Amino acid sequence: MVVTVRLHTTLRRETPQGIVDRLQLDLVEGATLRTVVEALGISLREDAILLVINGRIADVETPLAEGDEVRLIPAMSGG
Amino acid sequence: MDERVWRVDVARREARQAPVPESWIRLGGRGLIARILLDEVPAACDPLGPLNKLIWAPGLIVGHMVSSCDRISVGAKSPLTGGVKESNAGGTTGLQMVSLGIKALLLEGDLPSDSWSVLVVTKDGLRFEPGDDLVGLGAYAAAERLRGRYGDKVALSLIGPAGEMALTAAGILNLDKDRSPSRINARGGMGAVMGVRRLKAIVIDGAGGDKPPLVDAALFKAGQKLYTQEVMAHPQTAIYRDYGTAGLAMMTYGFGALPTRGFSSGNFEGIDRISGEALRDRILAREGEGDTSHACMPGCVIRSSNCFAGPDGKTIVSPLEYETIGLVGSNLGIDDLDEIGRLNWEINDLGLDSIETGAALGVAAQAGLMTFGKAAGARALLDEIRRGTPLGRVLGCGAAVTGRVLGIRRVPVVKGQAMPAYDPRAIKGTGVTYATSPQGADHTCGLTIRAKVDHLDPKVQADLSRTAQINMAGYDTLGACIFGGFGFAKAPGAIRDLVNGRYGWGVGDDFLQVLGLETLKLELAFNRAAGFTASDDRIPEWMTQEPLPPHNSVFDVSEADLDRVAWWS
Repeated sequence: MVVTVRLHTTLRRETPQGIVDRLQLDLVEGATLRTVVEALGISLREDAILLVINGRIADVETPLAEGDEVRLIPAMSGG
Repeated sequence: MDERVWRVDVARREARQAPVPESWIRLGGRGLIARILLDEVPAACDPLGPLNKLIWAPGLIVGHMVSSCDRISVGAKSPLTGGVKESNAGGTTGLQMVSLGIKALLLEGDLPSDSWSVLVVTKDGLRFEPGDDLVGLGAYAAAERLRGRYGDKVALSLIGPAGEMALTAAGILNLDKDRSPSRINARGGMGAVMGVRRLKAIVIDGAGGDKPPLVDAALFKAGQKLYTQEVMAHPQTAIYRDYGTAGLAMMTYGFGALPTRGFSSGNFEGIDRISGEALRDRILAREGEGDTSHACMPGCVIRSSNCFAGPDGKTIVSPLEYETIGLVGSNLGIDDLDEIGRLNWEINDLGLDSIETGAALGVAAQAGLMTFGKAAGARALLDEIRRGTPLGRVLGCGAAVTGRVLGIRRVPVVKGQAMPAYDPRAIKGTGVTYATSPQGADHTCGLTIRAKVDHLDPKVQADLSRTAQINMAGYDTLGACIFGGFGFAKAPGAIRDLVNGRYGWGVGDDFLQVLGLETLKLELAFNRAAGFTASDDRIPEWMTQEPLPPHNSVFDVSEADLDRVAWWS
């Protein structure tokens, strides 16, 4: 299954082809958010990163479905 | 220098310094303002009349350049909400007031009917100087002229044309560390309360002043060190340094809560052009004055502010913050950061609150007075305000007045104050804050977007908002920036040590919450006396009925939950 991943702010990656903040991953059935995080080599530090599937907060063990939009958001607030 | 209360009668051109009353000593900033309003301002008074008082109050730990902890609170009975009001800002005003021993500075007494003045505050006392030549000047030009007259080292609190016209969306502008009048006590119409006293500016010259005394300098320094280490180590600090608050645009969009075209949607198709990521990339791509990391106060290690420059390298506006991007950008359907930045400069120059003004223009667009997505239309409406036309004065009195006059029902306000850039139907905890804060709709009173909760679940929001509101009222009383709060959250003992090191009060680890709850209870008492009831602690009815795309959610936190939070028991 294919999911879209959006990388916010400091999780964006600089590559020779430019900044990457959106990518598609082809995952095996039964993949979870943990699969995505590990595939991207992102370390989940305490509450520092919010995991969001289709606009809703999700847990790292949440299973993914075809076409899901995943957002990995370094947690921040406003003022 | 001993702390004193400085009382200023503008009509009589008189000022005096008085001892600090016992019950005011252990308060500062927001909490002190609430105490003073309860003690000295009749709650039912006309906010633009002689019985109201305009109060400057630095926070309790202001004065030692502890990172992000030198904020200045300004407050009064609000002409926008009719209730208690405190609005705080960074910049240099708080630091310089404290160096002169000012616990609070109050404008009080009759309203002058003659000429305009400038109040000059120095270590030798206060004096009035003529201000008529400054009338009509925008905030930037007025600040430049005042700097020419009084030097580059003074702090300023001044109003723009909107404050002069006593428009209820007018704020008070303070200089940042680079002398730009861009640190604004923006919310609740404090600029109008200053304008009716015909005071264009206060000049604070801290020369010859001193840092406030420390009862236990070693303890204070230990608290400062611990706190600073935690701030520096916090992952959020790196986000603010590189992206500023603008990083919230994509996050709020991701939750489906980004105000779009008059709060009619939570998703804006132009997000990739107005996001914090786009802002950073644009600043870095341009030569010249642009800067992605800028400190609004001396000594700040977070530097969440920015300087946004145009293609020619010249500053368009500094800073460009998320709330303005949300209210003046997506809320107006405008997807060009350069246009948003220019509108932001114009709003600052008029001396207006960009949240309130953006919301008012969104209401005007619903009424057909401008077209969503057209910056030229927004500029034309801002020009109406500058010219003081009847329409301009309506807009300058904020979203609620604009909606009433134009017959628009979908107005995003609570207690007459416009919502910041988080639609409460998709970030419901922040909706609870909007509804129940004594200040009216204000994200700085308790934003919940960062919490790991389902923002659409109405059942988990009340406690979340309550905790955030108590903490924020505490920070606002200490003079601490919300972003420094993330450091304090990791090192709560630092607040204890800073306060005990400064004052020797022997406070405990819970002092932040003690201060916060006391502040909220004082504010509630003032609002109740001013006539507020539970019906004022509600999100507008249309937001409980009209679903917000993309989640198609309504605001459905129970009224029982709202009442439980709002009573602060």
